[in-house]
Amino acid sequence: MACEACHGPGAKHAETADPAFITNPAKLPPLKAAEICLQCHGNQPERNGRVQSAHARNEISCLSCHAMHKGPERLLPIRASDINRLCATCHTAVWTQFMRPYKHRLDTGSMSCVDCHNPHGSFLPKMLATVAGNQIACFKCHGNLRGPFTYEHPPVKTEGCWRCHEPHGSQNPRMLVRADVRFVCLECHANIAVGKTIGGVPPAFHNLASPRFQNCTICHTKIHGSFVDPVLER
Amino acid sequence: MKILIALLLALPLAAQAPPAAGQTSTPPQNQQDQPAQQSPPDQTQTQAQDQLPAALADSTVTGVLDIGYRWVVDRNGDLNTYRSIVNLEEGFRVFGLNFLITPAPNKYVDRITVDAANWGDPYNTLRIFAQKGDVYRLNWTYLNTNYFNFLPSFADPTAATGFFFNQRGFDTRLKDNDLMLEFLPGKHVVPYVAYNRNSFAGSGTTNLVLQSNEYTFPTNYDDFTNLYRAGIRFDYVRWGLTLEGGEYNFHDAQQLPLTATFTGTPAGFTNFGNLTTPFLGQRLFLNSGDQSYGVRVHGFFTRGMFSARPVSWASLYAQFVFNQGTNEAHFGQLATGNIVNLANLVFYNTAGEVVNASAKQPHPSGSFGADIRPWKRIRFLEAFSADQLHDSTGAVETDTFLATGVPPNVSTTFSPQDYVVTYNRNEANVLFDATSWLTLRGGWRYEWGKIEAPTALALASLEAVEQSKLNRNVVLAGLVARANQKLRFTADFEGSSGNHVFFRTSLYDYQKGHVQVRYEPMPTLTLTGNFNILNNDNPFPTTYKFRYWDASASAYWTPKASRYTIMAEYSRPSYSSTIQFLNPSTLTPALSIYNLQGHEATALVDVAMLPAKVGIQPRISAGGSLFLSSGTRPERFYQPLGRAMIPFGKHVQWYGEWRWYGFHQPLFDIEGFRTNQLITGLRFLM
Repeated sequence: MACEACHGPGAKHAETADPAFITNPAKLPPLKAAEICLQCHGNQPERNGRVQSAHARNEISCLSCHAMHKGPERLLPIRASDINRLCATCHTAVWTQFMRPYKHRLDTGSMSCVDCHNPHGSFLPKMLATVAGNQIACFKCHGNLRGPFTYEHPPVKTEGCWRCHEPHGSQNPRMLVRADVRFVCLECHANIAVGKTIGGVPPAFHNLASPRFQNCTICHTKIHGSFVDPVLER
Repeated sequence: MKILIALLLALPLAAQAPPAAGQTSTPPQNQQDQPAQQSPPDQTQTQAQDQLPAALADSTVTGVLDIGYRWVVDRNGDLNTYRSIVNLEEGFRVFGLNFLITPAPNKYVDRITVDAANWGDPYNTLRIFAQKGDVYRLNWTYLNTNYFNFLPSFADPTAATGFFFNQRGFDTRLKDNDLMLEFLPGKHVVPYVAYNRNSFAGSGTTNLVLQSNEYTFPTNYDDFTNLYRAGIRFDYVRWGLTLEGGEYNFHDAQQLPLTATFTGTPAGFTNFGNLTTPFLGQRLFLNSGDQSYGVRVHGFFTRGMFSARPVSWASLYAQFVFNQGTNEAHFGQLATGNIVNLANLVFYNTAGEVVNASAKQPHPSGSFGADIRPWKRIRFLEAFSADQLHDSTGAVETDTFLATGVPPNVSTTFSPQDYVVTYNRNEANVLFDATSWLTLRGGWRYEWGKIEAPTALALASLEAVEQSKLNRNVVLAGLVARANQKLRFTADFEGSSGNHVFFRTSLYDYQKGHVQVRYEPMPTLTLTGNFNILNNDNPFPTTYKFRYWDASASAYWTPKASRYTIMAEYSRPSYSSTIQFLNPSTLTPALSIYNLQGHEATALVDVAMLPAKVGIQPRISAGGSLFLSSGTRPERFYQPLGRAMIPFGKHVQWYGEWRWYGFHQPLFDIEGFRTNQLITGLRFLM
């Protein structure tokens, strides 16, 4: 690939050495710069969900993440820590969530943001990467939660894992969104939303004053879905 | 794996050839700044990579090998909590290995990148990338994570008595291998194959749940998934097409061993379970419990992705996926002890359960997108996606109760179920370049669908199926302002007044906003500020309010010629959730309130002790991270660190590091810990 593919006709620039006669994508508006890249890369499969991404909506240029002339590691970072550094420069609040006690191990360089997200866009929410065609990226590592289960727990497949977990990091054990398991469960299984939203049937009858029933998952051990039990106890 | 490590360590040596006369491989100048563990993200390391030669005439190896020894000193507090959160122990470690190998011209490979981290620790990875021009490209990622979770207060109904025993503990290992091999990369037609294997194995604690009581037993987890896929990519300037097919299979053989007892307990151990009082005048207990799962999942998927640029001002995208999984599950359970059958209120000494189940789950989805730029200042983004999941299942369960002197009680039930979800989304955005530095955006998203789910427990007197529908109109708006190349301001908003949603806590009547300012006054200094907010209310049938906001800022100052580099990030998150529910046993209204106000920060300051003109540059670094929260579950988690590095020549550096981990929860004092860790090591630069 020649320089002119990205920088446009360069003869006059070569004759005069005048920067005015050459296109510098780094100095173009983001969309214009992206258009240059997409001339060649626009039809690659990673970009199939591009128009649904927050990066496209907010005109994040390809050059924000890919440095063209600074070696292969800056062009296409492979090391998890390099990838994380790139993302953290904009997504500060997300990065600091990995400093919480219960988290995925991005802070040690064991995982990277692109293990779960496709920064070029996805037809799934939150620019999630896919596995097996159309399943959320969580199931790539947590294959035992993929199913199909004989008895699915609906929010897992409908709302996603983040309905109950904070995947970046949480102050709560098991990366739960609430401090106690029972309050995660009761947000749907609350007996008072019957007929409008799901999760209210049947009424739970457990005595929450007893410690036995304050830890729902000690009985409902297969909370992500069960192969054999409709109440997810085995 | 030890053999693999040894081979990897030797790999650069095998690839290395004597340098040509007058040529030396240049060590990265700033690689000494690489922390043994990356926290916060390491900017100086990437600077070093800037200086790597992109292509060299002869075989070269550049990179870093980072080995050392860790001491864990003065560890206090709860060991199980420490292992659940930090889990770093003493010993020799390969903290990092990162090589770029550029062999002498040959017909097999042009470039190999090897990146490994934390070997010897519970979380280790290996990534290998190799390419030969336009012949092939290979990516392999290996991830090995020890998942230990045995928090005393979690899933522990006996905690209030002072006896701590987590009934949902894990000491397991999650391994993931991901391999992808592309042929003819860069060509118009690119075939590829890929393989992923994921496994989860180890031990833990779980409960065998019987009627009116549950009994904790050790269990063995043992499952794996294989996923194979292959495809072909047609990549042209005007259009692209990817066709892919794949297959996955899953095997689960979890077991509670027969007559399972905990290590050290005598034979004949009686497990009284969590019910500590007599039930109908008798104490329920188990003498043995046995569960075994035999689950097989088989699935396949096909995917087609098409994109085109029929004209210079329009790009079109389309995707269709069909995924179908099936399962065949066999489950057996046998328990002996004093067991009640609630159907006839009779006590038995043996209870058996056999379940044979199957499911078939077709899951098609499709999407379409368009990026149209008909005029210079206007751009349309259109995206539509549709997804349907149908889980059709059936199970036959046979329960057997036996006791001396009592007729056997055997019952068989067949329960077919259907679970159906459809979800559709259409989103359209118009972007208008008001000026050369300001882009305005407005749009609309419409989401609709329905869900039919079996109830959690299909009691005869209640509905066997719950239904709900989704109908949500969302207004979208945003702007991007750019002042020269240095300042960028982004604002993003979406909101909906709500109509129908699947779950009580789904986004209903909500407003979500994001503002970001990014300023780069010079290439080596980046300042970023972010503000996010989300308000969500669902007044039906009664209170649900969720409020979230965070404000964050970061500064990265990484001048190449300076003696100082500074990286700092700070975030201030705030959550507040209030939801009403009926107390299940009394049906009286109650509120669940959850609050978090936090401070999260990371920082690293790195200083060269001598001016740059002096050849040897010892460096010291200090920083770390902290998390402080108040609210429902107040916590303090500190991870400060200090580091010193002294180079010995161009290729070897010594470093020493101190870290401190301190975790404290005022409401769960028993789960605190604190420890010092000392590391000394050598870093080899090639």
